[in-house]
Amino acid sequence: MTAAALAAALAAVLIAAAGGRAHAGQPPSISPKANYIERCGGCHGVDGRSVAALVPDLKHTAGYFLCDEEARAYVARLPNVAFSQINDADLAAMLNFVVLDLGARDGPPQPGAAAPRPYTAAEVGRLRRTALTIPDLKAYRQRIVGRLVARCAAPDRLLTDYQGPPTPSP
Amino acid sequence: MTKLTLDSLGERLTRRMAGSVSRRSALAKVGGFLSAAVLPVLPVSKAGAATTPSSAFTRNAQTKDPKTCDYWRYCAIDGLLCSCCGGGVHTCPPGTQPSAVSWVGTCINPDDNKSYLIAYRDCCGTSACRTKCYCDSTERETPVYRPQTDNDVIWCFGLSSMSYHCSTAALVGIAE
Repeated sequence: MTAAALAAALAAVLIAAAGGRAHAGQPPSISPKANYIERCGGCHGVDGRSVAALVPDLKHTAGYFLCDEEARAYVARLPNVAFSQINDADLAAMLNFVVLDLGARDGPPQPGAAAPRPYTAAEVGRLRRTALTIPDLKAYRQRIVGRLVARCAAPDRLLTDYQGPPTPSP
Repeated sequence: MTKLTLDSLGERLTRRMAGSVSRRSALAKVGGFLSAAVLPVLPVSKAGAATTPSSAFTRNAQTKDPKTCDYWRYCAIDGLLCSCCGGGVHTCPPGTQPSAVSWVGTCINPDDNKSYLIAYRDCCGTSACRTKCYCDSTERETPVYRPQTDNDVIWCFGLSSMSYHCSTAALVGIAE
């Protein structure tokens, strides 16, 4: 047996073992809200509000990110969103809960405004493959929310509340 | 006559390989397969296993005594139990402040076999509680592979004091 054949055989066994385990370990689907609370709510708050200066508030604000394509993509490409350990369909459903329910505009819909378009599993699947890797995520966020405030009537606090990520604990 | 043992077989195989291929090519192939095929799968496996109802924690969990680590709500707690420090399962001891952010876990109540969402909020503002009730449960935690799923965080950030006192386990919803 050559080294290449040996390596191939070893890899085949490992892939089979790992693949089998990963498949058997697929968590059962839970509701988008429960997924939000478990995966996001610890920091963003169970109701979408926690420490706005350190973790962006989502309540009544996240929905504005559907206003343009770049902002929409930004949400799904955020590292902790893109790399979350749920499949595309569950992730899309969870994001729709965040932007259409939790983060929906406060008050009645704007007159004449088009109904927001929900995320689809295919769209989220495509976007999460290009997760954001830029070092200064805050600067990128500020540029996007600046546009949402200027053009989409998003509240000013979207621009002013968030001061940056917390300093790592010792 | 030489006896065919596992050792001699291994030696023969190694010698033959050494004569026919370069070490680097074999190492590169094995290493490549290992990192490409196996590593990305590991955290997913563990995350899946953590929500499987028959975890070791769930099998041994009890619903009577919140002062011990096997109390059902503590399936993903990491810290000193406020129940042992003058507080309750979900209340901070007098003189401390609950954190606004938390680690969230899904625990199964053995009484009704349903999954509940539990927020582990820290109580902050005074130095660590002097108690032996320290628990470190690791359900759903995968700090080595994914630092964002590490529960060893002091959740006091955002409050006036970062001093950690103890941890609570508040029920925040049903996981369904």
